[in-house]
Amino acid sequence: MKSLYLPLILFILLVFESTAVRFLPESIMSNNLFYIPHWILIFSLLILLFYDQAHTYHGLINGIVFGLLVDLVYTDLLGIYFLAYGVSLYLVHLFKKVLQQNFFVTLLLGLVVIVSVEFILFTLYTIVGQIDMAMNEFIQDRLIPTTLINLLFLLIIYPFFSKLLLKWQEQDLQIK
Amino acid sequence: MPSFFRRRKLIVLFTSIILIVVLIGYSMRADEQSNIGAQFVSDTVGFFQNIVYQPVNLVIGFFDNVKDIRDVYNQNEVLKEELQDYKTLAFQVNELKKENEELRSIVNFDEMISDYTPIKATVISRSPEQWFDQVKINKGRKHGVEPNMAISTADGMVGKVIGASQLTSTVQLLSGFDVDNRISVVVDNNEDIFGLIEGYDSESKTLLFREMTDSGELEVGQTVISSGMGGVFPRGLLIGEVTSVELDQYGLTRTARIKPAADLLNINHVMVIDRDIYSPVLDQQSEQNQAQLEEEEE
Repeated sequence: MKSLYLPLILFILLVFESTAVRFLPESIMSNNLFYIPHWILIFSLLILLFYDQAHTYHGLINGIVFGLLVDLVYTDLLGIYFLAYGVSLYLVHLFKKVLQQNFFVTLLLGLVVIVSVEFILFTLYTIVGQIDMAMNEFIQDRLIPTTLINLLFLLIIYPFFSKLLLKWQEQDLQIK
Repeated sequence: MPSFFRRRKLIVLFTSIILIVVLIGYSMRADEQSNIGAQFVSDTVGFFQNIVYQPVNLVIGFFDNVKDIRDVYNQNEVLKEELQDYKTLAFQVNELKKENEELRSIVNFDEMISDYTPIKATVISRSPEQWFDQVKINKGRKHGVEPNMAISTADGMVGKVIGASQLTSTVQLLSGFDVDNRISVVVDNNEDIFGLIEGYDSESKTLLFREMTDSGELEVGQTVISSGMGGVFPRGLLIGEVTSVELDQYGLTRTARIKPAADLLNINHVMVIDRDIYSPVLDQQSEQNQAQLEEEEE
C-alpha cells in the first residue's frame, strides 16, 4: 500500500509551491515574466507513468484532488486548476497505452501536459474576467518561462522518483 | 457491458462539467473563505506553510545578507548622522502628541478618523499563481482580522484582506487591485485634491489615481495618502508618490500614476489595520458574525 505515500509527497509539494518563487534570483523575478510552479502536476504525471497499472487511476485522482486544493488555497476561483489538471492528466492516461516508458517520452508528455494546462488556465481566466491579456503576450511572458521552469523541475526529480515509483509498483504487485 | 461503460464515462463527464461550472459560479459570487470547510483547509495548509516559510526565507536571505555586508560600513556612517536628527524629531513628536491630546480633551473629541489598532502579522506564503497577487498571513478571525481591513508595512500600504479564516487570512496586494477594490485617497498637505485609486498598471508598475476635483494642482512628486472617506481604511495610510500626471481620455479629469511606497515583491512583516472609528462595512460584518455565533450557541 505504497499509494498512501503519494498524497503525502503531493501535500509537501503543495506547501513548498508557495515558496517556489523565492528560490529564483531577484534579477530574474524583476522583469515581467511569470514563472508558475506546477510541481503537483509534474509529480502526478510521474505517478501516472511509473506507478499506475493499466486499471488504476492514482495519478489522475491525486492530480485532480490536489488541483482542487491549489484552487482553494492559492486562488480566488474554485474549479479552474481542478479542470485543467484533470483534463491534461486524462489526456496522458489515454496516450499512455500507446507509448513506451522512457525518459524522452516522459519529457515530451511533460511538455504536452504543461502547455495544455497553461492554455486551459488562460482560456478560463479570460472567460471569467480574471485577466485581460493578449495571446502573444501570454505566450511570451507566461507560457514559455513557465514551461521551461517546470521541465527543469521534471529533469531534477526524474532520476530519483521514476526509480522509486517503479520500485513501489513492483512491491504492490508482489503483495497481490 | 461495453455500452454501459461508455455511458458511465459520459455520465462522469457531464457531472464533472456541471460540478465545475457550479464551483466557478459559487466562488465568483461568494467570498470562498466564508465557508467553514474552506477555512479548515486553508488553516491546515497555512499551519504547514507557517513552519516552512521562515526557514526557507532564512536560507535564501543568507545569500542576500552576504551581498549586503559589503555595504554595511557606508550605510552605518549615513545612519549615524540621521540618528542625530531622529532624536530631536522624536522629542518634537512627543511634545506635539501631548499637546494634541490636551487639545482634544478640551474639545471632547476623542475619536479620530486616523486612529487605528494595528495587529502584527507575518506573511506565511505567496500564491504561486501570479495572476492572483495574493499573500497569506498568520492571523485570522480569532485575532480580530476581518475581510476588507487594510494591510500595511512600515513603508506604506500594501493591500487589503479579502478572505479571513480562523487562523490565517488572504491578502490582496495593491498590484492586483482593480475597479472592484478602490481606495479613497487625498494628497498629503493639500485637502483640495482627492480622488480614487482605480487599479494597477502592471506594465509600468504604478497605481492609477483618478482625481475627482479639478484643482489643477496635482503635480509630480506629491505624496498620496488614504483619506478614510471610503469607510473602511483609516486616514493617513501612505500609498505612494505621483510619478506622472495626464488628462484622461475625455479630457475632463486628471489621472495620475502613483508608485507604491512599499515594496510589493518582498513582504515579510505586516500590520493589519483595524480602524477605531465606526466603519459601516467592518462593524456590520463583525455584528453579523457575532449574531451568527450566538445563533449557533443557542
